[in-house]
Amino acid sequence: MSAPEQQPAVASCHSPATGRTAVEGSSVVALVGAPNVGKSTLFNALTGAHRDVGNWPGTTVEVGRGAWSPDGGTEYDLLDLPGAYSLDPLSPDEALTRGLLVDVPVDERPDLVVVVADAGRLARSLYMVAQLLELGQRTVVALTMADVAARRGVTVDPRALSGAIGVPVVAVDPRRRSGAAALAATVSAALATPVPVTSYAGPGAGAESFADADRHFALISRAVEAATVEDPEHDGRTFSDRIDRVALAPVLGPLSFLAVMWLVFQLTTTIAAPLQGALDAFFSGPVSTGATRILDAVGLGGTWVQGLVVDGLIAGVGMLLTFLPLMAIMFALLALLEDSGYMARAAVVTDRAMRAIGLPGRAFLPLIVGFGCNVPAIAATRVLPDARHRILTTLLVPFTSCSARLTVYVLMASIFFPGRSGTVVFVLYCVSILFVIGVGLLLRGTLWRAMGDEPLILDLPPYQRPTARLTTMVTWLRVRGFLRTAGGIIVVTVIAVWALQAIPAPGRAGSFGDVPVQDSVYAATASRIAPVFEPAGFGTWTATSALLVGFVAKEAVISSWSQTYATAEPDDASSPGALGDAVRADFAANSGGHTSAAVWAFLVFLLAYTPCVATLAAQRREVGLRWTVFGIAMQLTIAWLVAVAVFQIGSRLV
Amino acid sequence: MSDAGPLTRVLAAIDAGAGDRDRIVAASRLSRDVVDASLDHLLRIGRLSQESLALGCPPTGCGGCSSPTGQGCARPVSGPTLVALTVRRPHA
Repeated sequence: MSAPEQQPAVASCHSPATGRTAVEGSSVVALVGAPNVGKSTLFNALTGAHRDVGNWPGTTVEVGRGAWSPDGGTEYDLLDLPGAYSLDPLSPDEALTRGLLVDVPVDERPDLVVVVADAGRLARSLYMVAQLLELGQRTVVALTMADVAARRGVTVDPRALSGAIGVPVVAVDPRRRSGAAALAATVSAALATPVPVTSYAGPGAGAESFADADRHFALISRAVEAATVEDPEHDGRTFSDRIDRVALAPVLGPLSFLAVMWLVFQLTTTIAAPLQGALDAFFSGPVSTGATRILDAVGLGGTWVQGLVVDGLIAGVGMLLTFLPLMAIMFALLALLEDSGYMARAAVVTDRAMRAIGLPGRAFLPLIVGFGCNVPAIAATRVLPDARHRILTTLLVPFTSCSARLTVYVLMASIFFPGRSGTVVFVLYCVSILFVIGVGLLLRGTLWRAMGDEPLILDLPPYQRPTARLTTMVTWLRVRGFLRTAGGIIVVTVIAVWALQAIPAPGRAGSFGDVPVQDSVYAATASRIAPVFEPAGFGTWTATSALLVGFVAKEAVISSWSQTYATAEPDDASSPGALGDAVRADFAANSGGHTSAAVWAFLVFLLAYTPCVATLAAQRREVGLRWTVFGIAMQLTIAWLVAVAVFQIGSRLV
Repeated sequence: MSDAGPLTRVLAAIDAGAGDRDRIVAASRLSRDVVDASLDHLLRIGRLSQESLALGCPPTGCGGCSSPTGQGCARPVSGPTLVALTVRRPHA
């Protein structure tokens, strides 16, 4: 077609004449190519026009048109078509390109198409070439971005590419305006050849389309192989690639992940300790004293109201709030890891490990989420398409150690293993992983022996510098969630625990609000269950009651202990104070002298038994009551068996 | 399999358990450039589906999930997103 003939078709597609148009009768040359290959830059270089160009996809949203006069004599009507990867359109841009190249009558098609191909992503650029060849279109390839490819150690030989793909190939650099003369000569020569004859009717559909595409890719693969030379001396790996050589290595990858997590826990506990102590002193000092004075002033001093407010709410909720700095630091560190892209690597490492032991690969996602909170993790099992995978993963999620349990770990570690809190927490997270693997294998070996898995590719994003805004926002979101817990369900639990501790057990002396805690309904109930835990070394009503309250939420373990021991914290900013002394004395007195073994048994039980009522509700919603009950029984059984084993073995070793 | 086209080889590699691009390159014996282009094309024609996997759920403590609905991952997702590609079988 010549310039005047194509005018209506192009004009109907919003063609801005971006410069001087070609004289009537000029050959029409269309520039096509995937977005972001430098097509508009080439157009500007050839026509002297100033189309809006940029390095983002979709820059060209209209058909540009201008006169290309390479030698001052011959003139071409140059069209800059919208970015299109192929002639099978997925977007309006691609539909427009197809419309102008394929859907118009043959005599209205451009006389020649210049496919602008990115040397750095050659295979992707050549798909259009393969399709155009089949259409019988005069085609020339303009190879751009050779400098970018060279920086990656890749050189593309235009001559070899031309020989392999069967069309002329010219290297151009529109930014430096080089290669234009060679392109003009090649276009001129190509226009002098007859239009190739073809019987091809256009891209097909379904299986036929796949076969066509596979055939095109075979041509592309041969062309890339023939034309591309990679410099063996050049390390073409990106910054992300170099880090991933370690982060994703089969052995070093998991070890690196463990080291990173140890560092997170170590930093968290070390930095938070003084802040935690200061808050502890604040709640047990000025806040408790102030509240007592106010209650005295209004005539409620010495009444059950003082017990509820000072020994209940301030002691319980206040104790939990002392963990706020710890949680904030950990949330911030984890947010940094997420924002940097490292957590995606951890997911891949986890995925590989799960597949290696025959667990469903995709289950890594809810399990990783579970280390934050089990409730959304249970909901996240919906990413698993297989019902058996969902049930299996839902049963495994409670064994992932959520951040609520972290508060108890840190309290116990600071009481019994001062100075090594970070390592104790790290060990417990490792135990949590072992629980997931062990129970997963157990269930796969019993309930679900035949369980397939769908193929899945994980595509990693590059690393990036964490941003303060995102890290702060995510940290705040999570801190806010922790505060909501402390201000919501924990307050309710504290009041319930206080009420149970205020009611005398049947047959015991005292009245409401005036009864020793060991004579309360609370203690009596826990005492009936406590013998169950004697083989595990912590068969006391104090430990048992904390575990019972822990069914509601794990943070409540701390608040309930604080209420139970009803102690005022000293102003020592670095130790858990009198609460710690009471807990230490309790464990020492009831473990037969094997305190450490009993503490580890308690921590392992706390890790493995039912996380909280919210998790149970989520489980029931996702897999039904029957599996939820099965899960509770399984967790309690496993938690008890392992806790007993830890104490029995530990007490013999230590 | 060596006679099969690149798209078929890439799908076969995924079916055989290749879980990332490097493994697909190794299993299919294609260049990384061709594998990347093949994966892009398989996504375009719907033989692979793509989804972003959100890893940034807020660890707010059990029983205190800050997700407004109490289920699923709360937004915003933090950090670069992991993308999962899943093979979709054509209808018979």
